[in-house]
Amino acid sequence: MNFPCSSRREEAPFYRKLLLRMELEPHHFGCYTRYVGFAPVLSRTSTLLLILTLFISGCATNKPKSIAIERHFPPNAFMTHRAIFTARGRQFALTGYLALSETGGQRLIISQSLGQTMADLLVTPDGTVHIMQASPMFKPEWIRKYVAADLECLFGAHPHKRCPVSMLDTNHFLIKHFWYKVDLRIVETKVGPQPETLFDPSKAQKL
Amino acid sequence: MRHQNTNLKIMSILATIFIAIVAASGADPSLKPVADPKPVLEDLHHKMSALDSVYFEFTQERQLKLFAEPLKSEGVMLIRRPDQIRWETTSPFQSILMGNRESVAQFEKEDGQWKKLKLGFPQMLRRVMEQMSLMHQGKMDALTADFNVSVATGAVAVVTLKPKDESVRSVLSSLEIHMLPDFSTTREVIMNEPNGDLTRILFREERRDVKFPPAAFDQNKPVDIEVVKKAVGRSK
Repeated sequence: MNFPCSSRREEAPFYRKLLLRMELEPHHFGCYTRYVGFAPVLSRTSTLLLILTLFISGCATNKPKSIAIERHFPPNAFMTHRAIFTARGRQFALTGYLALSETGGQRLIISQSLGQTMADLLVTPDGTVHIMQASPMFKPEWIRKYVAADLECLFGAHPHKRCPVSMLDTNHFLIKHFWYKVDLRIVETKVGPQPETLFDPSKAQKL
Repeated sequence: MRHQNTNLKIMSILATIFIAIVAASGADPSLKPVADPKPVLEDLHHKMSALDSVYFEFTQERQLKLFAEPLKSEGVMLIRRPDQIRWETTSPFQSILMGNRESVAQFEKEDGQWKKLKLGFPQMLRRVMEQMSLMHQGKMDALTADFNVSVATGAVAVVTLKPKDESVRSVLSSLEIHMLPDFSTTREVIMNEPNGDLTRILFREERRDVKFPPAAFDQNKPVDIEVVKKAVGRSK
C-alpha cells in the first residue's frame, strides 16, 4: 500500500472506506484541497472526519497535488526522462532514455549525471525482463525487481492496480515506495517507430 | 631488491608507452604517441597555470551503439582558480553540478525553482568534479594517482587517461582530452565505456580570464546562468 503523502495514512482505515465510497483509489488522493470540492456529497460528519484525518496524516501541508494518472503515451516513441531517485534521504539525479514499441516492447537505459550507463533493461511484449547491462549502482536483481516493476507501472500495457504512482502534472510523476521514491519528468518525446534491434533480447549481458 | 625495483620501473614505463601506442593507434592513425609525456604535460600545465578562469559552452553527445543518432544535451562549464567548477546542463533539462576541494552540490530545476539535492556519495562526485577541474587546468600530474596518462600528437593533441581502479574501469575504460596541437585549448573530451558506447563533450565559445558574478559558484543559491552569460559577454 503506498500513499503519496504519508504512510501514516495506513493507520486510518475509516478514511480508506470513505475514499472507496467516493470510488477513489487511495493512492490517487493527493491533498485535501483538491478534493474538498467533494464535500457537498458527504455528510457534515464525514467531511469533518475527512478533514481531521487528512490533517492528522500530515497532508494539510503544502504537498504537491496529484491527479488521476493517465497513460496516454504514444505507442511508438523515444523519450528522455530526468529523475530524482531518493533512498534513505539521499538523492541521485539520473537520466533515462526509454524506447516504446507498439508491440509492447520497452527498452530503458539509465545514465548518471555525466553520461555513463547505470542500467539497461528490455521488457519484451510477453512481459519478460532482460537485463542488458547492470552496474555497481544498479545490480541485476534490483533492476529486475524494482526498475522493471516501476517501468511497467508507468508505461506498461497492463500495470498493476496498486501501482504506487501519482501523476503530479502532465509529464511529471512520483513513484513512492516504502524505502525509495522516484520523482520523474518526461523532458522530451520523439514520436515514431524505433529500431527493432532495440527490442532484441539476444544481446543481453550474461549475468 | 634494488634490481627488482629497477625492473618494475622499466616495466611500468614500457607499459605506459605500450598503452600510449595502442591508444593513439586505435583513435587516429595520424596521431603519433609521445614516448615520454612528462615534458609535454609540464608544458601544458605551465600554459594553463596562467589562466585564472575559463568559460565554455558545450554540447554533450551520448553515442550508444543501439541508436543511430547521438543523444544530445547542451550546457555551460565554468572554472575558476584555485578549485571552483560549475557544470550546468541547460537542455533538455536543467541541472547544476558544482564542486571544489571541500564540497560538492547538485541542483535540479523544478517548476522554475532550483532545488538542492541531498546528494548520495558526495565524496565520489566531489572527486570527479575535482578531476574535471584539474584536467581543464592542465594539472595532469595530479591525476597520475588515479589514471595512467599518455599523450599523442598530430592534427590534434590527445591526452588519454586510463583509470587505474578496476571498479572505475567497469564504467569508464578511458577518457580522451582533445586539444589544439599547441595544447592551448581543449576542444573535446571523450569518455569511452567498456561496451563501446561513448560520451563526447564538444566545447565552444571559450572565454578566458573572465570575471564571474559573486554567486556563480555559490553552493546554496547559485546565480542564474543568464547572469553569468551577461557577465562574460555571452548574453543574447
